Amino acid sequence: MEVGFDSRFFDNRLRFDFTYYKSNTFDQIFSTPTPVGSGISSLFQNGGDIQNRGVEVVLGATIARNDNFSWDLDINFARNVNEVLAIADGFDKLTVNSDFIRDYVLEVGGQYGDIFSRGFERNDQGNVIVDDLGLPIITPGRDAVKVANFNPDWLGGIRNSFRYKNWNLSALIDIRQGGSVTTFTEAILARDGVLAYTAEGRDGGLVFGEDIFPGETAVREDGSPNTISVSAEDYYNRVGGRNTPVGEAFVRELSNIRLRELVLGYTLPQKMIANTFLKSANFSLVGRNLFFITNSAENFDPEIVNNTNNNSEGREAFALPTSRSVGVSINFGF
Amino acid sequence: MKKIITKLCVGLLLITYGTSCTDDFTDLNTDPKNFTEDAVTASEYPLFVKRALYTPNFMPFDQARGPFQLSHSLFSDVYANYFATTAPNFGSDQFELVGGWLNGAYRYFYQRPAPLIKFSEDTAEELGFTLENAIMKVWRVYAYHRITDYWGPIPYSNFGNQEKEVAYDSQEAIYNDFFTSLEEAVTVLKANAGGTSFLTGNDVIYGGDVDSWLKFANTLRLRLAMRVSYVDPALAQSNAEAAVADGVMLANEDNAVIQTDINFQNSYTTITQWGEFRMSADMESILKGYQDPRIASFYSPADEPDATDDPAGVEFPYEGMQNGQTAEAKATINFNGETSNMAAPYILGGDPGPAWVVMAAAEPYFLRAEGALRGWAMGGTSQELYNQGIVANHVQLGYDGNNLSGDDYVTSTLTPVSFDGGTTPPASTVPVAYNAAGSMEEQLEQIITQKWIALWPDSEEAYAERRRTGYPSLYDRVNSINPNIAKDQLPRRMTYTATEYADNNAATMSAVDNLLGGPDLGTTKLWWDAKN
Repeated sequence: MEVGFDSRFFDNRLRFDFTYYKSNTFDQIFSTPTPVGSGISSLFQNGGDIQNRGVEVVLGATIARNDNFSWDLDINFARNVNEVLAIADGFDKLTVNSDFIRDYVLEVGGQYGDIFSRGFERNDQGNVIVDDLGLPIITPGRDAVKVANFNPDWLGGIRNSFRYKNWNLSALIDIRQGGSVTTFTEAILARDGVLAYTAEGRDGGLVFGEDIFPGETAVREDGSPNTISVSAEDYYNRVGGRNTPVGEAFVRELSNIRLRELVLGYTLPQKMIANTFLKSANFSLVGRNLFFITNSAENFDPEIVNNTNNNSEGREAFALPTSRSVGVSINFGF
Repeated sequence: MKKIITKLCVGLLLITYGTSCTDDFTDLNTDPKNFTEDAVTASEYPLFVKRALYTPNFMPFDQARGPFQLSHSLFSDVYANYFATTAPNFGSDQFELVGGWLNGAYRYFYQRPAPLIKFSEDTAEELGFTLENAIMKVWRVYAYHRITDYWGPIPYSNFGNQEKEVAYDSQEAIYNDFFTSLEEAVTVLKANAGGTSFLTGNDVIYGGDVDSWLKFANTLRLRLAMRVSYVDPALAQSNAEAAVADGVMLANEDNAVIQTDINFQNSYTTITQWGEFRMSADMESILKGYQDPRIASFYSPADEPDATDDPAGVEFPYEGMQNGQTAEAKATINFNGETSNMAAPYILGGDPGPAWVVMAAAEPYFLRAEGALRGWAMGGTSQELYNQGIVANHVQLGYDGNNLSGDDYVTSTLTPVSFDGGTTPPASTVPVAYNAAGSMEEQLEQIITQKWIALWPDSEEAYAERRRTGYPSLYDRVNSINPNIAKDQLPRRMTYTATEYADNNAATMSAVDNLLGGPDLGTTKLWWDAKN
């Protein structure tokens, strides 16, 4: 279901589009696991009801317009809220994919994109429990704690386009707010000790709850506050590595603002091409993915992808970095 | 124009709705090219039996070497103290019941051997192959008894129900079904005595020979009867006496053996390449003490043997290591270099390796010896049968019956010695020569100790007998990382797997609550584990 409107005011100098949508995807076919003693490996079932609701807003304004100069500002905003309403008869929970560090689990009432991993054992007050070595105790099982969700809260963009005589300049700023992943790359590299932030505390002196994860309160098993200091190596050996990394220790936010595109161009004056077969000619310098204005993920670009599977979104595991490109665009009109 | 288009559209719609699209579903869903279950005839049937016989013995190796390591090498091999783990991060030798490994072992059985066995048994019944149906019944009992001896209650009668829930059977019910199935099978086999099944060469164990299968079935029945001797002595005695009366294996010609070839290798030749286990200290202590020539068939001399830990005048270049070493010890001490690997035929990578022994004639002699000790009608005294068992195993491995000093083995009074030259006491104290005047427990210890040697490398059976009887006397672990099982104890069973809890939750919870008789831990004893 989708409703919206497009509106134009002031001789097209003010543009406002708005859309609200709600869509439910249901009766999907998926295979459900069967016990190994049943003699069959899986059963196909219909099921699932996943709901997406959201808004998309586009606002545009021509702020200045005269013969020599114009300035257009376009802003767009999109927000999507996802909810898992039902899975199937007899299933409230379905693990869609898993690897060493995380399980993608669909739970009724949760969201698509919830990432579960190992976490820190906590007491009833929510404090992290450390053992006699001063290291946090890890929950058993890979899907114990919901650590992240890779979907953004909202996406937006701002485009400024300027024209001065024959020159045009346009800049697009892309904004993504919200979403998080647990990073497998950092888990492995931290255990190997090759990340810059693992240099601190190699001779000891790190206390969980003060130097590591200062936002958490850590208590010993008997309830007393944790004062045991550990070395970086001991800590990352406990939480990092390939076989059993603790996803809760490697969660990174995905909010970022970047300069997505910058175009500087020159349109040849009509006089120059009047007698040629060309109707118009424009030469531009185009730069894409130029730089981050802010990036919460710090060590990687939140837009990396590993492959095109359904389940590879939100999977940060040694993907190739994204690239910045600069090029030339030549445009002829006939 | 508009009207024509409208009429065309309506017409098209009607046509699509008019012709049904589900008419051809049955034809569409019938596979025209590939071989399906209903098409099996007597010419294809033997191929399924062949696979059903190979897979519980972890062949062909390319599919089964991983599960072989998980199921056999990492658990029963170290819990029977035949081998000790040298890989630093492998915890099963220190009593960690690693869930992921047990999961692999369990799933392998139900995904490969179990469907093939069920299909072979059921198809033989449908197509009227009564003899082959009897053979597969015996084989089914053989394959499943090792699984229930690991876990206890397991899915057995409900296997293959194609449902989302598969209920477990109690071990008592399973063993009772074993005895019933074996009795039915033996009846059919006796009726076909002297004959040969049409399976011929596809029966990779006996070539279709009915008399051999009869002896195998009776030997298996005797083994299982002895297993329940403490929990249900009457059931044990009746089945054991019936088995012996019907005829168990008496000579090595009756042994159940699978020949290996390049495609069906002995899985040991693959896993020895990974260098993760070596000879145990118990093997050194006991076989060095007995000056047992069979050591050369089991293990190779160590790279640098330590002559100082051998008794005076004895040359024994085989070195063992104690089970349950800590991860730090394994990371710092070069156990792989200092201790003995398996014997040469087992360590040639890519080589077919020694023939796979399923069951051999020495074992029923020891079982009959124990039965005679209990006063059952076993056709001999326990001393006679004990000696015959030792000799049968020596002959099976190609020895002449003397020990390494040239003296007669079965009458020798030698006892096990310290494996490290005196620092650690011997693993056991029993001599070879049978002491018929000893107490019941002393005689039992002698029987089981020699049986432990003769069973090598069938560690599943040795581990089961160790749990049942408490013998042979073996070294404690150096260390245990299982908080429930101390280093001087032993895991009594394997724990249920995570995928069973996930995929078969109701049935698994019901098995733990109603059938297991204790919590789902390694400390809960199985039904037959009832000695005191």
